[in-house]
Amino acid sequence: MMAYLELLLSFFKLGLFGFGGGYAIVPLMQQEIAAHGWMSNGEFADIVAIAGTAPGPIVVNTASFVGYRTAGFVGSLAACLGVVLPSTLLVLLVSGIFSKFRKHPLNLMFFLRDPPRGNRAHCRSCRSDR
Amino acid sequence: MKRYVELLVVFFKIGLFTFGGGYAMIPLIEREIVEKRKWIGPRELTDMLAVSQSIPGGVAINAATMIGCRVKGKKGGVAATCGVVLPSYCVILLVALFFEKLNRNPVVKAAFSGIRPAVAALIALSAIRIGRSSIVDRIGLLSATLAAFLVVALNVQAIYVILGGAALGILIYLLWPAKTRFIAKQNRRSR
Repeated sequence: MMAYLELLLSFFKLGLFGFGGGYAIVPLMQQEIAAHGWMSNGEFADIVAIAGTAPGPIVVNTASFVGYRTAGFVGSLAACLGVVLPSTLLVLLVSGIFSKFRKHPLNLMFFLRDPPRGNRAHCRSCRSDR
Repeated sequence: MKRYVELLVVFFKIGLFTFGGGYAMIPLIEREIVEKRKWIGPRELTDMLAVSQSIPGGVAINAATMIGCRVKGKKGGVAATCGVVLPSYCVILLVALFFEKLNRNPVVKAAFSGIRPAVAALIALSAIRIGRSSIVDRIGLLSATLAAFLVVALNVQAIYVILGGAALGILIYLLWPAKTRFIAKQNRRSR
């Protein structure tokens, strides 16, 4: 039971502070895993490789895999939930505020008055990848 | 009720068929949500993606939650999130079940010894990508160098370094508000 709780809390922390998504969170995870002694760095690198190859978000894949290797099925569930919960709760919370405004609620956020063009560029680069 | 199921199914499909992480999902989200179903406009999607990059966690998950919320409220957000997470969770569980056995195979072992350096390169690539869009002046360079030094040399927990970065950003904003606006402008241009 303690092991599951530890996984949940650790990955909740990672989900909460993991800005940037994807491989940017991997070093944070590596530190957390090393601190708990859950597995060797080499083993973790293998897991990251598989997580990057499997479908879906890298963060979710890595967390689920580490959870499974550490504490079996329930462990994977705990780690996956832990890493997804913080941002989901955040979005759900913020969406309540958004929906109070009319029409184009997201535009009210100060940093969105001039949305970064990076996303468009990124979409385009992804499209050419396909 | 039908809408919730539809959200779940659409995002399940998106989650199942994108390889290579959250960013690879963006074109698919565009096609399924904006072009095919017209749930939101292209401009709104761009805004949503910007927000999902700014908040912690995976970009794809954040985008899914946000789109779900927009389409069908909080429950819609939960449905979309479950949809996008479920397929990858199931696939990973399946892989993890067989990984132990496979890993004893010498050929698989050999393959992974080649894959490990490639993973290091992928992480470095993500560092370069984020660095290019966020290090725009001497303060940025200084804080990046300081953060690297703290983590590598002094073995400080990365989470504290992130919190320290936030504190530094707020401090600079309080001391020189104009400077922050300048950096934000530079940021937009460099992207």
